[in-house]
Amino acid sequence: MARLLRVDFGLLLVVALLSVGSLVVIGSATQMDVTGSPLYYVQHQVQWLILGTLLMAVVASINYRDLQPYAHYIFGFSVLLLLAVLVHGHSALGAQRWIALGPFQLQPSEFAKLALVVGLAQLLSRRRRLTRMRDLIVPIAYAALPAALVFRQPDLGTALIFVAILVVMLFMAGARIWHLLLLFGGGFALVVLWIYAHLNFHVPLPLIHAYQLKRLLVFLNPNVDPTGSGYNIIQSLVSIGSGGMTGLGIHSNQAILTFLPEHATDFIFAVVALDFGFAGGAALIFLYLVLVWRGLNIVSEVRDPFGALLGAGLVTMLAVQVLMNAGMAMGVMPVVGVPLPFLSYGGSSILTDFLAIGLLLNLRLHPGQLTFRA
Amino acid sequence: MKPQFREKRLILLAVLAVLVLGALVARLAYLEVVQGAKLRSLGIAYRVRVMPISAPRGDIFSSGGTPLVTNKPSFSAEYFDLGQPPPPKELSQLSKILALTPSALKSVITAYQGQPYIPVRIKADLTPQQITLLDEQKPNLPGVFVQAEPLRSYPLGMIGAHVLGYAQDITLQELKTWKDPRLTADSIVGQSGLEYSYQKYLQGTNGGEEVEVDANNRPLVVLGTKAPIPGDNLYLTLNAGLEKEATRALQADLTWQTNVLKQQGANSGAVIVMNVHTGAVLAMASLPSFNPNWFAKGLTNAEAQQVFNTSTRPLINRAISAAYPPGSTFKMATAISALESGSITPSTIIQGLARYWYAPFPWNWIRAYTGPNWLAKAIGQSNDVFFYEVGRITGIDTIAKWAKALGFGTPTGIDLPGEAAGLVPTKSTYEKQNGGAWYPGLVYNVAIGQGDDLATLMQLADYTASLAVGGVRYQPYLVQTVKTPSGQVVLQRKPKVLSRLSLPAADWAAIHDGMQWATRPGSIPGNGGTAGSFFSGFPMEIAGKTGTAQVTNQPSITWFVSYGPYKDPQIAIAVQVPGGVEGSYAAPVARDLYDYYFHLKDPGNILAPPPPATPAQTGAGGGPGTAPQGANKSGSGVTGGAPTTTTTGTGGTPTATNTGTTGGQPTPSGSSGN
Repeated sequence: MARLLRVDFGLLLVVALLSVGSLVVIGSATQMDVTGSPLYYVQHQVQWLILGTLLMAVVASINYRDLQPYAHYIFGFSVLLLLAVLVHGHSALGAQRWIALGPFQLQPSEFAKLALVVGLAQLLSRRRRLTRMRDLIVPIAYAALPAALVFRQPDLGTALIFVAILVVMLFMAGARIWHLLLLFGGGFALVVLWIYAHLNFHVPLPLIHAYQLKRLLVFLNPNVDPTGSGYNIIQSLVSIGSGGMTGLGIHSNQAILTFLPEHATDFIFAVVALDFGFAGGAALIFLYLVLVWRGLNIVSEVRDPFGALLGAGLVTMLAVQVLMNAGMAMGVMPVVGVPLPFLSYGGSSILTDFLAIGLLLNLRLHPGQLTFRA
Repeated sequence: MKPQFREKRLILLAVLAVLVLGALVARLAYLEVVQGAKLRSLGIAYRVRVMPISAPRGDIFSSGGTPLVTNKPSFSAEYFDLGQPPPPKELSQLSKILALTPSALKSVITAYQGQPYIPVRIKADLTPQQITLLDEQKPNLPGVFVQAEPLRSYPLGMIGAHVLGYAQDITLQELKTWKDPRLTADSIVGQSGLEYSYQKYLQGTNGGEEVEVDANNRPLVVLGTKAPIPGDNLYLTLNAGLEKEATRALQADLTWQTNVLKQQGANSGAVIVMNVHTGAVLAMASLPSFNPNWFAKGLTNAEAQQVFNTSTRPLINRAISAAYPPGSTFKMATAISALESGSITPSTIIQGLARYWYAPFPWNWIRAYTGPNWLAKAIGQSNDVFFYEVGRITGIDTIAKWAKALGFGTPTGIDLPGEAAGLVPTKSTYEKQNGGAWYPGLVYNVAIGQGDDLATLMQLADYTASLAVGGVRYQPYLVQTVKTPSGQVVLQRKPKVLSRLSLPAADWAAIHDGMQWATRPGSIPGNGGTAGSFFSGFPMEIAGKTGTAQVTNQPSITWFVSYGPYKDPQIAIAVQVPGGVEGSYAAPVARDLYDYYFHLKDPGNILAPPPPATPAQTGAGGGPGTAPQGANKSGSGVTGGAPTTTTTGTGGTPTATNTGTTGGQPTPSGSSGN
């Protein structure tokens, strides 16, 4: 029972607040979506939250070190699932992301994030050194496999999350900062230059269609296509701007919401800002900051490299999603369709988020015996 | 990995997280605080629509209160430009429902493109079936909605159409030129007649409903409503019964001239009845006419063909817009200029020879000696030689001076658009227009209202009315009162004097006597007048004057101007039939209207409407049967009694010079509107 005291209640409180907030915001956003049942989405979200809490408890109670021997199998299984999506997945909104699992639509790319963290933690914790450039080849290739598969769906957002997880985990595993800057900063610069050259000098651009590029870059100036690809961003900005300091409340202007697409998932941050204004949006970001702080705090206490890398990867996964989701809603990031952790409606993402929290709690619940280490 | 090393890197990560999340908060503050107002108003532009509630235009009533123009409830299809062109599928579906070609539809919709959120009317007066179809297809037609709207309605149809005019969907150009903030893209705006000239009174102020709509353009909440204010109502001087009768009688006269007298050119004409003491126009008809209701609901192809592509040009108001040589109706103007300049006295005698004695020796119309002529007789029998000589003595510039004083050459200023000015020829206008130098022989033509002389029927009616009342010439007008819908008077018209001529009583007496002479039955030479045969047996004394202006190779322009009763003038009636037989053949229209107006029960009215069909009378024949009888009677009663102006005769006769001067004239055109 003494172990229960090791539960990070701060982290649990943040998660609880976010979950309740999610029900309020989804309720506000979707009350008009299904005629006759204003709580349709809320009810489903409640089910996912309960299931997520249960999974969290289960995952928290098993010693994470027991996962270690299976880490690569978990990773391998998630890669197989991603392959299955590509082969016969269910597509929506122009991307192939779901596979049917009984009555549920499973989104393997969500779980692949966890699997990548687990797999990389195992891989990196077993490597003796990462200080040479060539030491980075294997981990990069390892992460590149699922990244390439989700990029093919196409799901650029998740692919970028994979990259962020990889970079932070390499960083925490001891890779040299200038190596990482050279590889990933340089790679990013190269991509930007290439796109610039494509747009200005018609240099052919591989891997991506012209319309996808347009959709990605429209956030730089949504008014070039206000009724087409810029529409979502403009409507998101309108919703956020209409919130003011304290927002319009949860029965706020329903007309605004009808103009805001994906208002329970990708653009839920705009609904928060509309209903609760700057105060609500800032409070939400603050909650995520607390979550990151608690997560990093746990990592700092973990004694074994596998656990530390696991925790750092999980925190990165959640933080990067906040950055990308809020960033795209506020027009500073490309619209890539990443859910906001604990807030966005959706089973796969909620379960993934709770599994991540379960693992973080686990790290603290199972401090391990340092003395047994040789 | 040493814990120390990990600690350092964790701190770096934490700093990074604080920076990144702090940047998000900063961005949020920027959007809410700095950009808030701009983004909010952008949102409002997306979802708040002002759905106009169309204000009905003002009604128009006759002097007796008969509604001449009203509004009836209807539904029209409107298009809401959502900022992007409608997809072709939507266009084709709409065109099927509304029975419009896709290209016509597209041009209506795109006319206002670039100004989104303005509803544009694409079809007025929908059938119940069309409304149902539009309703059913609503999900496929996001820009289209059905709007309850007042539809302009003209209960008398073609009768009075030129006076009332028509109103039609405003164009972008008109929206700019009217500069009236009450007008919107779906307004209808006056295009002609009183609908045009009183546009600013008739125009109502649209109300509106501010509606919040969702992304699919479905209204969610009504934010506010402003009631529309209907336009002001016009109360005319027009007598509805007389207007109908004038139209009917003129049509009957045209039918008679065309069908019975085989005068094929007599397919158009105009008539004006006005109050000689005020200038109030009691009736004004122009034929052929059009139906303003066609414009209200949108012209069909056949209707558009009829209105725009008919050679007789039904849209022209011939009463005010067609300027033609006035012919012998001008002789009173010549007479007044001669009397007042001292060229002649009422008793000056000039021999009525068959031809004039100065070159180019123009013919008298009668081509026979009619004995000594004095002014009254010369007017009554329209003696050309008398007026050649009077013109010669008086001179062109004196005639022009007095003609202008009588209103020739200037629009009367009646409250209708498109009035022509006509022309009073002088030496300088002649030289400007014809290139050649003026020579004295040209005055003969001008003296009898031919050559360069041009006048509208309105000018002739007003001039005749002023002769009737001893020289006071009023401005003709149609609108007596303008009132708001609640009955408040906005405009009250008072008679306006345009000019006053003071002539010695003896001079007036001679002119009046001459005009009365014109309606005296009898032979010429003898004691008859040029229109006498058409006034035999008429129970009221009428003063009048025929005119038949000839233009080389063109049908004659025939006129009859008159006032009555002779002793106590009340009304003036002027009739114009371009292409008619002779001026006197227009006189039956006037006779019919005096009969109608003064309830004379004239038994000799050859244009009288067919009596109500009773079994006993149907066999005897109605109007069409009586018309030829009247024509035959009048034709045989007075030999050659009708012609009133110089005849051109056949080519090669000495009159060639005379006609040569008119030959170079621009063809009198019905379109000389201004």
